[in-house]
Amino acid sequence: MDLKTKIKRNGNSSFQVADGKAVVMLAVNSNIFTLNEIGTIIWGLLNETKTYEELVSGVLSKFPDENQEAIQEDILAFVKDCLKEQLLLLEA
Amino acid sequence: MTAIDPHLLEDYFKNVSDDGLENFNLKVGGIGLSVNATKDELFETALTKYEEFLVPEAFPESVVFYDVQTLPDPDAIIQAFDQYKEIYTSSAGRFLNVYRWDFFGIIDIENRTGKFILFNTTFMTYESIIRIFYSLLAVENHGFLIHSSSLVHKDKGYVFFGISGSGKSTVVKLSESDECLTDELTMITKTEDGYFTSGTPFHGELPIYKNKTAPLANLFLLTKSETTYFEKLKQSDIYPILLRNVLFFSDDWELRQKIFNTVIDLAKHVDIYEMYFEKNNKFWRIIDNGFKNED
Repeated sequence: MDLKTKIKRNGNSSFQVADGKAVVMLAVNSNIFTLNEIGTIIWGLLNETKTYEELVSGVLSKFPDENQEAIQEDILAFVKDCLKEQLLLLEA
Repeated sequence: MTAIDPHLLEDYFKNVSDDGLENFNLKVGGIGLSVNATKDELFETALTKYEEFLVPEAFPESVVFYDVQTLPDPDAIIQAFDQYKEIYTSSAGRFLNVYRWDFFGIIDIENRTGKFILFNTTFMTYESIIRIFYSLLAVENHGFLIHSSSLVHKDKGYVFFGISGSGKSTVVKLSESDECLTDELTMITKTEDGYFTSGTPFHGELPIYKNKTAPLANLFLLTKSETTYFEKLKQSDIYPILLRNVLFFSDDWELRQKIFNTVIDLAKHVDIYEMYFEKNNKFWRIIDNGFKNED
């Protein structure tokens, strides 16, 4: 995945925000995922397709006083997990 | 396992007749359902078992039962479904096809009506279909049926859910002074006044069921233990746990989303705890004491 990779939500999903966290259900298997703080921000940013670069920039802007490197690691880990679980998809 | 061709299901209904069918009308958790069937032994059993839930008025939400023996070549039909040991469903637009070894049917989700052909002469088949129907009707009423026992304690409804053997009936047995609504399936519905729990005529180990509704106070995930204490469930854990215990068969995405939304909303409004309990009624003392665990 490079900075220009386009990422989008799996459209065959449903989500609600509960207790400040996004809860997502996938249509394919009805699996449910409660996203963490960064995941919830990413899910919100992906209301439209974004490049990985836009995504990182969007999340970092929410945490100006935090360790940017650590947050970038969290973002990458989250996106990788979500791609594996098919919560997020890559757009060609 | 190969799914049954939906067109074949529809074809079977070309030979059914409504002549001589009679009906009874149920109201469970405020949700009406009319059942039309031949007035045979199963029909009479339903009148007896569902007595507390019978009402005189008919409802547009209705299901019709036909006996397979009234169709040509019933043995071939029975054989065709014999392989389906559990309930199978398939959605086709607004129609939901449902079948098992002892019945098959088509439910019109939009009109909330259904037609079923029954192969078995036991009440289990009859009741299975009514349960399926109520599981769908509940969703349309911002609620659901959940595998649980429920009790009314000090005018509030408490729902105890968990896997088979987790203690749903045990909790009822330990609560003699409280009113049991069901030890098997609770109807949870939402009105503008909040969430309510209602008894259903679908009992489990204990032949207890009450046609009564109470404001829903709490839900408890049951775990048998050496000591009694409560732990509030984490939000992230609640949704999959609750959904695993909701009675629901349809693969219809729209209906599944409705249940999902209801469960999320319920968890926002009602506290849900994991209840570890020993075989006595100490849990009521802790509940009455605002969930302050005792040493």
